[in-house]
Amino acid sequence: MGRRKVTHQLISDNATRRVTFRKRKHGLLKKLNELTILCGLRACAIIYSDYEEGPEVWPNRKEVRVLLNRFRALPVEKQTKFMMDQKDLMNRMIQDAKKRLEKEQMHSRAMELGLIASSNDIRDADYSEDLIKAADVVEKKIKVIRERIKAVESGAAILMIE
Amino acid sequence: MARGGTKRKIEIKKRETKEQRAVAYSKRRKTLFSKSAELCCLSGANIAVFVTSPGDKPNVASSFSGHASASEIVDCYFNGTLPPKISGPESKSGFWWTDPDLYSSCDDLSQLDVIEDLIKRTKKDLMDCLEKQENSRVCSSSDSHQKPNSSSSQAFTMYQNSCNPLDGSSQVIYGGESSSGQSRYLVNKDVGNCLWETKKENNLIMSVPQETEQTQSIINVDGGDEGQSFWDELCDEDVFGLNNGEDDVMIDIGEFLNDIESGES
Repeated sequence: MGRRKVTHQLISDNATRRVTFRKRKHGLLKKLNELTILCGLRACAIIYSDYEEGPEVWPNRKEVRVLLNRFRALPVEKQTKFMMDQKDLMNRMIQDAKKRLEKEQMHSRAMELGLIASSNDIRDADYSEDLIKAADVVEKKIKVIRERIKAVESGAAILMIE
Repeated sequence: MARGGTKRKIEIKKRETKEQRAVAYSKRRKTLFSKSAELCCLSGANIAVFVTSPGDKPNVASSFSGHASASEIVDCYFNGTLPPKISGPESKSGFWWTDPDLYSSCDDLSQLDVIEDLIKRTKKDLMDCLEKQENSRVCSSSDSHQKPNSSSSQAFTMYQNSCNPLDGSSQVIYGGESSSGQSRYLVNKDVGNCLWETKKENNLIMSVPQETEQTQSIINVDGGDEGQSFWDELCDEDVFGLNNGEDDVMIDIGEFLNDIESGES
């Protein structure tokens, strides 16, 4: 995904940088807008750039002022509780990736056990713990198959009436 | 995308249940913040985004800010002052490793290790470039007898002859980025003994005489790139004053190795 390579650092070419800024800013504000509509909440954005004198705000100055005043009125702990910057984002992404890795590892472990269970020469005593887990996997699969049988049978019953 | 079919058109109106809203909120906030991070990074704009949380907790706010902290930007907004500008790449007078803030912002040992690794690789890269330049100078003197399409063995021997005087230091070049363990490119002292396949040989050897004949460098001159990677910039950025008017002999080893790998696989 992504038609172009993206290096995560300041773009050196001025013209490309300006174009990228415009496009991405537009995309960002669009996403922000969608978020406010989909979730029914209030949000605002302030953008300082080299391409415009003064800040660019979304959605409009009044809303920004209102929201920021409310923000400032919050106690400092609440203000900073969810304050994120790029480092935090990166950390979050790392954690998410780790979780996904663990999940995938569990899946592959389950499949491994399934393979062990389905093989015919289970004689190795070292695998006793794994055998128990393998048995669990097999039981779960049996359950799933039984449910499918039920579903198909009831489905078949309906068909016959028709 | 890895899993097909995840892109669907969603109607843009308020989600029905609280759970749906919460789910949408967490997913979209994540992408929103990562897109703001990219915008900040790529264009050097100073950005702050504030989002309140949905549901019954109107007093929880999440904010994201680019180069300055969100509170700073808020203050700037109200006071009408401008936040500090982000320095562009042209304005850096020193090297990235001489920046004093770099070390003070490291929180733990692993970050310092990363920096150390980067610096080591930089040094290695530069040494390789330097050696390559020396080699090419030597090779170009015996250039007149070489034809780009000569048979591999002939070119090989000529290469061997012309580069031997450098007492084996030429072999080190192709061991370049060995920091990632690409030791298969490390050649023995005796060049004739290296276990290269003919195709690899051809790639390497054809490239060497060609470089010296062409006047264009093999550095990434891809104008379509949105920006240069760190390594390309390094090669371009005449760090040690090597390049005084001799751009045609500086070679990007990354290209080299990529060619070898793609040729092999």
